[in-house]
Amino acid sequence: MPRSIRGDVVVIGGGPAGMAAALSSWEAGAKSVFLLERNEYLGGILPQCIHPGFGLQIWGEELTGPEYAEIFIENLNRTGVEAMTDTAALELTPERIVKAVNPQGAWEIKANSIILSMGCRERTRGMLQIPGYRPAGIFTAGLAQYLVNIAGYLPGKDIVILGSGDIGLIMARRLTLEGARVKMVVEIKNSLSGLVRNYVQCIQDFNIPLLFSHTVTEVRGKERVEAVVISEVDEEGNPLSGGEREVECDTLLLSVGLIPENELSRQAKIPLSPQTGGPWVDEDFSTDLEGFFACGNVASVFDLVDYVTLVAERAGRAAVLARPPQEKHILRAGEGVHTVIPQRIREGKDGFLFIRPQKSMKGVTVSFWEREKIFYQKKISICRPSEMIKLDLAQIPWPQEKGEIKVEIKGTEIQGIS
Amino acid sequence: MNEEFDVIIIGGGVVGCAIAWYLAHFDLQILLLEKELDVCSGVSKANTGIIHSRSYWTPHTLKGELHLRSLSWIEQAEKELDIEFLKTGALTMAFSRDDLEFLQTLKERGKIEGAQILAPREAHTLEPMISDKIFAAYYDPETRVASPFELNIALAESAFLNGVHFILGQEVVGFEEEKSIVGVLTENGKYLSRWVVNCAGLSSSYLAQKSGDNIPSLRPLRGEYLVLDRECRGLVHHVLYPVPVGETKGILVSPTTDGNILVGPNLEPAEDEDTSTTKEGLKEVEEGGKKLIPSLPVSQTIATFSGLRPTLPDRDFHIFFSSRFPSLLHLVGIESPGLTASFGIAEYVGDLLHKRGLKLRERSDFVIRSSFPVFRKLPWEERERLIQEDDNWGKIVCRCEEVTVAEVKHALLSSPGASTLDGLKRRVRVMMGRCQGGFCGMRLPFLMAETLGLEERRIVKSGRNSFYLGEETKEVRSGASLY
Amino acid sequence: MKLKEQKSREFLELICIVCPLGCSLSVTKSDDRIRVRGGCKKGEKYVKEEITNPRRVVTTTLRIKNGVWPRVPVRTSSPFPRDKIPELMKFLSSLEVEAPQKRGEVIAKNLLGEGVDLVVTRTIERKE
Repeated sequence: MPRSIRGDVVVIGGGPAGMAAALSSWEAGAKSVFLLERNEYLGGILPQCIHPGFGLQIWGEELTGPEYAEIFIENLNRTGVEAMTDTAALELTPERIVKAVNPQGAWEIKANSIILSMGCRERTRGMLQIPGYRPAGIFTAGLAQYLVNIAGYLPGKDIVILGSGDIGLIMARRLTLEGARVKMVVEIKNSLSGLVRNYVQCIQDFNIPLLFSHTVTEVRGKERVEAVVISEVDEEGNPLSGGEREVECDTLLLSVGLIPENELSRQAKIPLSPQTGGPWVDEDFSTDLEGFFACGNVASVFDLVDYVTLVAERAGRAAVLARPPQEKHILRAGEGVHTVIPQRIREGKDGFLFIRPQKSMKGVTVSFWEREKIFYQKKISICRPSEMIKLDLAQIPWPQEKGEIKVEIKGTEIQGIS
Repeated sequence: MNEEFDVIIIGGGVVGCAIAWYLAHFDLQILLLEKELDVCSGVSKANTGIIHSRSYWTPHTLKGELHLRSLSWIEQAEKELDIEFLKTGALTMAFSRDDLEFLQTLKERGKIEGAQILAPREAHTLEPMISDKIFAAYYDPETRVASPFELNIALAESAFLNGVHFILGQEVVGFEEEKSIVGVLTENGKYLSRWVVNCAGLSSSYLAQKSGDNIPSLRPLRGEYLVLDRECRGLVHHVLYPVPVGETKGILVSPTTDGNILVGPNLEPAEDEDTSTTKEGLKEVEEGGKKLIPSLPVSQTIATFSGLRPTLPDRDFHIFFSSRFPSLLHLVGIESPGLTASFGIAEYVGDLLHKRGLKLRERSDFVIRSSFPVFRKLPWEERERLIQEDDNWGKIVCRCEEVTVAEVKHALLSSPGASTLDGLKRRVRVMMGRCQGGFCGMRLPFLMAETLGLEERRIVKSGRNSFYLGEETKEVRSGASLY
Repeated sequence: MKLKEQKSREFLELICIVCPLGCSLSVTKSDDRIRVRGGCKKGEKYVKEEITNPRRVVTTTLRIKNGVWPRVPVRTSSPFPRDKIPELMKFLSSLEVEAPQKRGEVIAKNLLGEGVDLVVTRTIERKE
């Protein structure tokens, strides 16, 4: 029979969100905290993100991914949090029972509160339906990052990167430094998906061509990639005929977006938002199902690990407090807004609101609507889809009566880099 | 290998392996030669996996005859191979009064108990998501779904278990007369056998021409497919066929044995061995699928692929002895329903060889295969028990399909075992789920190299030159001007 | 690997990375004088450094013997002259260290005589 245990708080996923949540649950007085991680090490994706840029927001110091992770691991080691690595959570019920396996056996863990922090996965070639052969040499950028930084192998020698997201840009530099030739970065949109700083230091520094409004429309090569065909696209992203050209390469890296991993959330019947792909949450990162919390990229893909830490700490504390359900404001993404997180506001006294814009814009106004009237506006100079706008909830004069609130962003659109 | 075989089988697809399995029931020395690094690497790896019922047989053809003959083998095959075909049943959907006649034909051909022609409302009760534009539907309770990989590999494993020799990665290039026997020439040598069966799929007509026989070249007809995420399971329960226009069964929507939804195939001429997908082809498949299921969630596509039908002009199977080598049997044009017909083909081949003089003495020691446990399908008590036996059962290497290290190691070390990443995929479903290897691609090449004692850089995806990894890092030899 | 050439030119277009605005800056260079148009005061300072002495924090890995992983990640202790990064990468390819290695330890000093050290960023235990 599977071994049965009980826990005050069970955290599923030991990446940055799970580590911060487990730590803050413990500090908030949880009697027992189990942190389940399917990998053999804690930290999630951080140990392979060897570049700097982490921690500026919360520590004012720029760290690399492995350093950021190790600080949390050391802090966890000083608590009574039981970190179970090599442990895969496979089933989750609405009654807060997690079933998991690890090399010691099969486990059934009943928890008072469950924190979901499973993170996200990368979009694949299959999802993009890029036609052509199915040879070796097509990698998601994160997989390539693991191979280079942890396993010590290049994915190939001549590389085309599809997508100008940050992982793609950072891998362009990393691969170049290790002696591979990054032939180009191809972006389907007409503007940069990643940070400008990464464009300058990863692409411009190495004279790597970056093509906007282009995509890969075919993979050639039966055994290993021999070339890709790139095409110009129209505003909707549809390839224009006549503009195709072949680029010889042995590797195609895909940096084309991330998807929150919510298979377990679905099993537990937690209501999910079609916009973020993750559970609807309030400012405590409490989901619509009592006793379940969701923080980090499982709720919505964040751009900074610092933000993930901030929201996970809130979820960790709230999981211990276990406040009863109550009526909440419901936030909707209006014009110019890709996603808002949280989408529920319990009180709005503390915590943060993260807004991801749809487009790069200058002279931006963020407006909050209650029915037909704007009750709060905030002006900011610039916004980009790659950078969430972070607002303090306490700044916003939330209406007395709970109801639906629409968030809207307006401004002048920017194309290209800046 | 200096020994002389009774039978050499060329080709490790489902037909070659079914023949090997069938002949392994008799006291014979058998060798199977496969040019790829694994069995199930050609035509057999990319098809619908449907075991078409007798409603769908084609009268007055050899393929029809062998189709029917094959169906009587299903229960024995399930038992001996320890696999289970999913008895889904099927609906053939008619969109106009004119199509009704075809449904009648299917019903008469099948003469299956419980088969019936349904009014739209009855069809919707069975399959709520189907198009409301249908005029009628033919319900066939006997249609089954197989995993083409599982069937092909189970046949190979059972054959191996019963003494068939396998040589993988060795291409046959011709034949030589050796008194009363045949010398089969490969890239690296010569194998001698009294009887030779050429069931080399796409290469079969080429080999027949090599032996001096007059047969037209095969015309590969390509079919493209979409695979939808397991999250879509429950969308359809039966195989959904359209009423065909032309010679193939058309673009169908089918559940798979693993809970995915398969949509396809279209039909288009292709160059030899061109298994690429095209934008137009995938669009056609999508539209074909949406004709049957208008709300088909194509955004849940996790993979696309294409397969080839090795067809001859008359669209029938051609099974004949070589005019120059009397003990060389060619199987050419084994296209759809080749998977369904494979047991029938095997028995037929046995009969033909026997009539020419092959002695078939049934063995008393035939071993029944037992399939290796699939972690994802095991109850929790069994999982706990297995982990206590071997902790590799507690190490999940593929998150999406919940595959353990124990299963991967078994697939690598069994015979004929996986020696490529695609071979692993076809045996235990790693890299086949929604992340398509994004996560397990970090572990598998290294686990594979360690288990098989190979260099990590030698690990291939499928073909000999399909290397997965590039050079090691820290090999920067010159500073400023690497290009 | 080829870093962008930074020859003494009259005019330059640079993108400022001091803040998320990412302003386009036009730079005029004559003799020792550098004039910047567009952007703010901080941007001007960034440009002057970027033109006279561009530096980057370098992060990479080293081979590690007997470690639980085959590579150990490292970083430079402070920004390193950008134009010498290719040479640095070549040098680091020749290094191999022995496990265990502890995060924060200096693994190599005064890289290429530039007064910058190399620091371990992940603890790698010794393989048993």
